[in-house]
Amino acid sequence: MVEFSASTAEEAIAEWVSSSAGATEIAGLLREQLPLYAGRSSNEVTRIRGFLLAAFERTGLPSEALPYVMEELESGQDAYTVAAAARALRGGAPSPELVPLLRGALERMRGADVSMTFEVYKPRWPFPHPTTASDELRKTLAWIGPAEPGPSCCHAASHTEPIRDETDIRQIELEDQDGDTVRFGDFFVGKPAVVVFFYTRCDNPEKCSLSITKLAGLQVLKGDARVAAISYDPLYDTPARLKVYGRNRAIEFGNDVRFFRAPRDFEQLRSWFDLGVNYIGSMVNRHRIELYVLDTNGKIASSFTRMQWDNRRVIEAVQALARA
Amino acid sequence: MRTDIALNGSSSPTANYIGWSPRPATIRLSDPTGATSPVAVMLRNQRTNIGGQVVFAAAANQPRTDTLQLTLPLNGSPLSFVVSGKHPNASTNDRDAAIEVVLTTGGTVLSVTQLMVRVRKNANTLSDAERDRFTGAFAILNNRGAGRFRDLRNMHIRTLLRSPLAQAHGDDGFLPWHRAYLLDLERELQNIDSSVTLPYWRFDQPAPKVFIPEFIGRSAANGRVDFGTTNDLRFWTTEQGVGVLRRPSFDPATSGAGNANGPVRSQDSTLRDLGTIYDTFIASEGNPHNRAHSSFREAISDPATAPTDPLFFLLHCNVDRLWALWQAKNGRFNPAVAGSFRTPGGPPHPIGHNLSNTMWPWNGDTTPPRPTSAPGGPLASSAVTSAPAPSPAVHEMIDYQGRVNPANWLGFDYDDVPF
Amino acid sequence: MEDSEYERYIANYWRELDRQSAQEPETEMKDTALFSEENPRVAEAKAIASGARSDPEKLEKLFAIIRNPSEPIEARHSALTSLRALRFNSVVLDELRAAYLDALRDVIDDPDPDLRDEVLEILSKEKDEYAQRRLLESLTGQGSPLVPAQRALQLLSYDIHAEHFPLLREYVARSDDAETRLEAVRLLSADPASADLLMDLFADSKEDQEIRRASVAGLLSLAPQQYEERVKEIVLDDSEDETVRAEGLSALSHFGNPTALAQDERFNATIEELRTREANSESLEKALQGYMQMHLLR
Repeated sequence: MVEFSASTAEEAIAEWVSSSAGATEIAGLLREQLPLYAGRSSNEVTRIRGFLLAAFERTGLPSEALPYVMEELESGQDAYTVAAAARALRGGAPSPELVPLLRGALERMRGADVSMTFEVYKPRWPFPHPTTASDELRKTLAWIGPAEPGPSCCHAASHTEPIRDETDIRQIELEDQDGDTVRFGDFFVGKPAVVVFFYTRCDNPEKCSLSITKLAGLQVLKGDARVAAISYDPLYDTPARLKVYGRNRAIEFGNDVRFFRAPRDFEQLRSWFDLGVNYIGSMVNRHRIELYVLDTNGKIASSFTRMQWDNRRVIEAVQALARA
Repeated sequence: MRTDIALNGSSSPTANYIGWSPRPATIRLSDPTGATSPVAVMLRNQRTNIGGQVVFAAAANQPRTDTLQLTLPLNGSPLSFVVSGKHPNASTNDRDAAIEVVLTTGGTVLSVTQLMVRVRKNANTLSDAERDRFTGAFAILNNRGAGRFRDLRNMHIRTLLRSPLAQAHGDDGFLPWHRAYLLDLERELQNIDSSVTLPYWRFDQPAPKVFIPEFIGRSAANGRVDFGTTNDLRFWTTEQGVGVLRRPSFDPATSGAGNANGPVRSQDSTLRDLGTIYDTFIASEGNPHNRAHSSFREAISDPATAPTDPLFFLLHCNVDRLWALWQAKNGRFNPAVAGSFRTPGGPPHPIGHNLSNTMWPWNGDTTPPRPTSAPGGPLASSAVTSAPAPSPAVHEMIDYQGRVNPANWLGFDYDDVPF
Repeated sequence: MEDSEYERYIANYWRELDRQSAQEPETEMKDTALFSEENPRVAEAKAIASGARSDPEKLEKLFAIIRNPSEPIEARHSALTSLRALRFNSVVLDELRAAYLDALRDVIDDPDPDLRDEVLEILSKEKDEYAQRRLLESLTGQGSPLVPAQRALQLLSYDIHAEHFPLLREYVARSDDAETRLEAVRLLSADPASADLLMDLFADSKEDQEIRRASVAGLLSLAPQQYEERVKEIVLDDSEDETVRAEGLSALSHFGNPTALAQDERFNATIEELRTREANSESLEKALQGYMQMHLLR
C-alpha cells in the first residue's frame, strides 16, 4: 500500500499517479481523514483529489472508488473534481442508473463551470487541451448512450460500523447551543440517537446546509431518540452560531434535540468516529456528508455517509434500535 | 372623563406606528364620569410645531383633515375612524407624534395617544440620532446572526439551477422578492429598536452625509472602509472577518453613482423612460440597479458577496423606493390589473417569478427547482399589520400601502411616496 | 377627492412629480470628467453591452475586447464593467462562466496594473483556483508580483479557504509597513486559529494603538467567551491607553455574553465608578455610555 504523508509534495503525488499508480492504490488515497490531506489548503486538496479521480479513466474504475465518484456528482461544487468524476466513470462499464446523477451535476455546473486540464498537474495558463466540467459530463452521458434513466439510485447506503476505537469517549465534554456543558455519555446514552456532523461556515449548500435541513425532518424521532449535530469547527462555531444555524433550518431545540461543539476534546471525537474530514490549521479543507445512528449505549450502530441519506431509512434504523 | 384610542386593531402601544396610509383606529369613552349624554370631542395633533403629524378621516374614503369631530356614545362602545401620517411630517423620534382628544366644548383634554409616523427616509437627511439608532441596531442584528441574513449571504452561490440567486434575480420576481427581503430585515431591526426604519441611499444624488465614518463608512485608498471610533458598524462581521472593503468609482460626496460606462440612471429618467407597465419597468434591474452595484469595486459589486456590505441594503431600499414612486405615478397597485405586474400570456417564467407563487426561502419550499434548503423560517411578523402572510406570495408585495385592499398594508412607507 | 386641504396637497404633490420627471433629459446628470470624451471604441463596447444580457454572441464580443491588448484600455475597462454588472442578472453569462473566466485569466499578466487588479478581484470573488494560486505565488516570491502584497492578501481573503492565514500571521510578525500590517490584523479576524495572536497584540502596550483596537474587535468577534476576562483586565487597567481601553469595552459591549457580563459585579461596579470620573477621554466616555445602555440598563 502506498503511503503519502502531510509533507509529501503534491507534485510528487501527481507524478506517482501519472506514472506507476494502479487503480486500487489510487482508490486507497481517497479517504478524507488520511494524514496525506492534513495541513493542505482546500485548493490543494481539490487539485489532488481531482487528479486522483480523473486517473480512473485510464486505470479503470475500481468498485471501492465508486462512492467517491458518485459523491462528487451529487454534491461536488468544484468544477475540477466534478469533471474528474465524470472522467472516472468512463474507466468502468457504462451504468445507465448513473444518468440522473450526471444530469444533476450538469445542471449544478451551469454557472459554476471553469476551464481546466487533466494533462498537466498545476498547469500554467493557457492550459494545454482545456476542458470543462460540462464537457466532461456530456461526454460521459454520450458514452453511456441513450438510456432509460432509472429511479433515483443514489442515497447513502447504511453501513454497520465495526468498533474502530476502543477509547471511552463518554467523559468528553460537549458544549451545546445554549452554552451548557454535558458529557458525551450523559446525552448519548439511554436512548438511541442520530448525530450529524457539519459546520456553519461550510460554503457548499448541498452539504451542511442541506444536512441540517434534513436533520430537521428527523425531529419526529424525539421522545424515542435523540437528535444532534456536532460541529467540525469547534473554535468558530460558538453556541450562538450553532443556535442560529439550527433555528434557521427549523430545528426546535429541546432536551432531545441539541447541537454541540467540543472546544477541548474534538480530537478524541474525531478519532472515535473516524470522521471524514481534514484541516489546514483550524479550517476545514474537505469533508464528507456523515450521519451516525448510535445505540442506547452511545456506540455507533450504523452510518450514512458521503451521499445524502434518505430520512426514511434513518428512521427505520433508529426504530429498529428502539425496539431492540 | 377619559377616552381611549386603539390603532391598527390593537390596544397595545406596540401597534402605535403608522405611515402615510389611512390606518384603522377606534376611540371610546373609557371613563364617562361627568357625562350625561353622548360626548362631542375633537381629535387633533397635540403639538403642531414639532414631531410627527397626523391627519384624520371618519372613514377610509373620506377626505383627511387636521382635526376630526366625533360624538362618543356614553356606553363606551367604540367609534371607528382612520388616521394617516401627514405628509411630509414624519417622526424623527420614537412616538413623537401624539393624538390629543379634547372636549369640543371647553377644550378639556381627555387623552393623549403617542404614536410614531414611521417611514423610510433618505439616508442623507437623517438626524444624527436617527442615524446612530440605525447603525447601532444594524450592527447588533448582523452580528447576532439573527434572521436569515447571514445564511442568505452564505448561500449566494452562483449556480443556475436551484440557486438562491435565481429565486430573486433575472426575472419579474426581482422587485417583489427584494421588497420582502428588505421588509423582513426592517422588522428584525424594529425588534431591536422599534423606532428604526431602513434608510435609502439616493444613488443618483451626492450623499455627503452618508459616506462618512459615522454612517456607512468612508473608503480609504486601499478599499478598507473606515467606520470611525464610535460607529457600531465598525464591528460589522461576516465570514470574512470584521470590516468591509468597498471602493467607489465616483466621489459619493459630490456626485451620484457612476462607473466607466456612465452615471446611474437618474430618478427622473427611471420614472420617465422605463414605460408605464411592469413589463418595461422591470428593466430597472439593469440600470439603475446593476449600474449602482457596479459603480463600486469590491464586495458590493458582485452578487455573491454584495450583502456582506451594509451599503447593500441602503442601495436596494432605493431600488424599491423607485418602484414605489413609479407605482404611484402610474397607478400600479392592483395585482389583478394588467400593468402592475407582467402582462399575462407569453412563455412561462421560473417558479418564484409569477404573481401567485410564494417566495423562497420564506415558504420553506425545497422541492426542485427551488434551492435544496430554505434557511430562516417565515417572514418576521409585525405588531402593526398581519400582512403579508408568513410565507408571502409575489402578489402580496404589490399593494404595499393597502390602496386596493387596506388589509394588504405591509407597514412601511417612503418619505417621498405619500398616500 | 380633493375636498380637503390635505387631499389637495397630495394631488398637487403627484402633479408636481409628474411635471418634474417629464422634463427633457437636460436635467440629467451631465458628464463629469469620469464619463467625458468618449473614445469610439468605448462607445462600441457600450453598444455591444446594451443588448448582451441574453445574447451569447455579444457576451463573447465583450470577452474579446477584454483580452485584446490592442483595444484602448478604456474600452477594456468598459467591457469589464459591463460584465460585472451583467453578473447580477444574466442567465446567459452564468452559462458562459468558463469562457468569461478564460478571458479574465488571459489578462492576469497584462501590463496595465489597474486592469490586472480589477481582473484579479473578479476572479478572487469567483474563488478561482488559478488566480488564487498566482496570488499566493506572487506573495511567496515565486514569479513577479501581480499586485502589491497588501492587495494580494485582501483578494485572497474573499475565500476563507484560500490558505492565506499563515501568510497573514507572517505579515503581522514581520512587515514593517504599518498599513499592510494593520490590514493583515483585520483580515485575521476570520481565523479562529489566530485568536491567541490577536489577544497578544491587544495585550501588548507597546503595540500600535490602531493594531490593538483592530485586534480586540477581531478577537471578540471570533471567540468571545475565552478571552473576555483578559480583555476586561485591560479595560480596567488605569495605566493603559484610553482609546485602547475604550475599544476593548465597546467590543465587549458588542460581542460579550450578556448573561456573563450582567453577573460580573466587580467589573460592573468598576465601570460605574469610572463613569463618575471627571477626566475621561471622549472615546472612553462614549464606550462607557454604550456599555451602560447595552448591558446595565437592560
